[in-house]
Amino acid sequence: MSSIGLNLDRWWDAGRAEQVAQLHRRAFAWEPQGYIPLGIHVINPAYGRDLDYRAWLDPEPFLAFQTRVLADTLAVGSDLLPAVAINHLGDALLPSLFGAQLFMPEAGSATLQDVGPTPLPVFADISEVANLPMPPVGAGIMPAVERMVRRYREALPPWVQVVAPMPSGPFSAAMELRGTDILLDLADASEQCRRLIEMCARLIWAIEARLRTLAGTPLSEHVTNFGILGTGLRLGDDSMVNLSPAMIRRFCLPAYDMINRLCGGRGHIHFCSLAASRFEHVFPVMAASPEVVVLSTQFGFEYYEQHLDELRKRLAIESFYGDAYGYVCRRYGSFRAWARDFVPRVKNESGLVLYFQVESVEEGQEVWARWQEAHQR
Amino acid sequence: MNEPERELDHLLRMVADHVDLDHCHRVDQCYRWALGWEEIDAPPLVVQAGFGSVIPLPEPWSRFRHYPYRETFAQPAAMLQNMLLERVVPGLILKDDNPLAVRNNHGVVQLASALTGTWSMVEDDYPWLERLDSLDRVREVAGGEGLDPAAGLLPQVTETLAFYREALARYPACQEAVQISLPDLQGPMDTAEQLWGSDVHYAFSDEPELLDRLLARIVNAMLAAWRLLRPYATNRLDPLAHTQHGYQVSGCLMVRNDSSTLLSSQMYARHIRPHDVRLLDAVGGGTIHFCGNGKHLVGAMLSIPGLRGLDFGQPDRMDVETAYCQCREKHVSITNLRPDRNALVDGRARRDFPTGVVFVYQPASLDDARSVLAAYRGSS
Repeated sequence: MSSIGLNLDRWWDAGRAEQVAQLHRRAFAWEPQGYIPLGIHVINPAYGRDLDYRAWLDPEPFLAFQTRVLADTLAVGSDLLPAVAINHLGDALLPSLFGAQLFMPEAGSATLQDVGPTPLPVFADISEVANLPMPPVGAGIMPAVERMVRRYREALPPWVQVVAPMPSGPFSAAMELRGTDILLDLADASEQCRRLIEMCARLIWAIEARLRTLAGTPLSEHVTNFGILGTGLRLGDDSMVNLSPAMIRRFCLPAYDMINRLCGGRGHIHFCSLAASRFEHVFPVMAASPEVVVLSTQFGFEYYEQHLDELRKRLAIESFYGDAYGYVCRRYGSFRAWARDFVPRVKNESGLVLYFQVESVEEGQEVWARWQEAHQR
Repeated sequence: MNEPERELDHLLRMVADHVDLDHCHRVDQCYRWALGWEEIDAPPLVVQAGFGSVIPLPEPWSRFRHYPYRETFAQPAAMLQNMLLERVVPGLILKDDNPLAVRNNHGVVQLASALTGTWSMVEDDYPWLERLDSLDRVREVAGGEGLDPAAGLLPQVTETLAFYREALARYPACQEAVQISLPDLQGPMDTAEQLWGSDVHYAFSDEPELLDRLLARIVNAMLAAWRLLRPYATNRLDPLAHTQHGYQVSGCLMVRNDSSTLLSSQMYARHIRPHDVRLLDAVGGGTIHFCGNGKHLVGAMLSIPGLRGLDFGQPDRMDVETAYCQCREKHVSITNLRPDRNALVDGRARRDFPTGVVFVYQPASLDDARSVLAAYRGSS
């Protein structure tokens, strides 16, 4: 029994965890295994109903919420590694080191990818970056986050990975600090933009290394906050979708390369997509770049199927979260109908890991059964 | 004459009966002074609203049919009737500083459609065109020359304008009082965005040379279209001013720069301004219009030698006091200033902006319009 009042140990199976890690590893390495790994997170909306987002730096309510989520998720037993992430802080941490004001809405979403507080821009003009010193990593809300990581680590069993807040990608972090005017600065003051992006890249790893030490996670081990064995540090570089392919190559890839060199591993990059906004111009850039080996985005699974020949052995896809589950249910009539159509066509390929969320253990078990069934076809 | 033409003829006869040419000349004089930054009792004030739709016109004007847009597109008589009801009749009723102008209402892709040869209409909306579907197509358009007067919407535009001239000529008072505006030729950047789509914004960084070639091609096409269409327009104040948007604006061409508000002032100055300079120089000066917040562009635009006026589509998004000070130094007029009702009534608008501007007021009703006009004139 852990200090959070739930007996998680009954779910622990070291052999199964190693098997799941191997599924992820082989998928991201494009090794065929006749199976597409699927993670099912169970987020019961009732658990988050009383969360008070005004107290967002108090670890207890969010730890309790995440622990209940983990227990339900483990009960389904899908292809996820046991992890609890501090995912309600959104992108707040890095901008707070620069003194960004943080705006927290009264109600949060309490879902798999809680967006957290919104950092307001810090720099009114890009020229302020010219002689900007690196801020200390212990500034801003870092002390509170460190307390949070310690508390999560102390409360959870050692086999549960405690995952620090997911870092924004270096370009997205720079855009949060400068605001949307950075899209103009890229053309007008590209050197200063590069400086800011590089500074963010260095800070991303400095933050991660410091928090991993507290969480007891080896610096070389990359488990994402969604329980997937990452190929490197998973970066949410959503704002990159505003850039052209040439600008992504110019401003984002060098920063990914820097992070890869700092932390080891290979690029694992996320951006958000919707059914009607898939930002498919990003895929060919990433597929052609040695800096990135996994691209993670909600609707990437359809791009994956349509462009397998271009992606094979070059860029693996992590996908299906967000609105994708609802989308396939609407489009195919049910998850089962979609899985029966999709899985037989691509299960003998590799390079794909999927995960998503449901609202109850029963729904998760049902979907899990349908997924296994689809692989028998 | 078909039925719409007969009804239009009836309307034109009524317009001719109500035209007050002395008032028209006084209004012209008011614009001459205001746009020339001369001392004046009060700058022009034009009342605009959805006349005929949001605010019903009184009898006998209400008897005339107001057509759905799509019908006007296919029928010049219907288009002219709508324009008279929306833009001219309110001026006859209110005797504000409405310059009594009609335009061919073919929307914003008149020039772009001539460059690509394509356009389309959906339901009752203005025509639009699909962006060019590849960089090669952009290169093809950028590398083209001249302007084909038979391409895109241009044949329909010239046919409509010729019809306007003929119809107005049947009534000398209409011919003298009602002006025909130059068609909306947009501007280099706005047309570039229509052609290239929003990806044009990447071109500033990724394809600056191609962007420059495309903008130059658009300027050439605009100048050709301007020369082609100008003889159809009637502007009593030419070359000091011409009618656009229902009032007079400075110079001989209005360059639309809405899409430029998305650029930084440096990007505008480096990539777009040279083309605006060439355009305004070639036509002998003109006005730049933009909607939205273009505060950051005003300084860069004011350095254009041929700039005579700025037209703010949404003055509430601008710092108009600062812009007025900047423009006053250069004697560049500002049109479509929209002071609130109280400022018009108590004289503050006239005091804060004594000349160099054109005011527009959006009334709640015809009675409201009359009372604001009376107070505005009383306050001056």
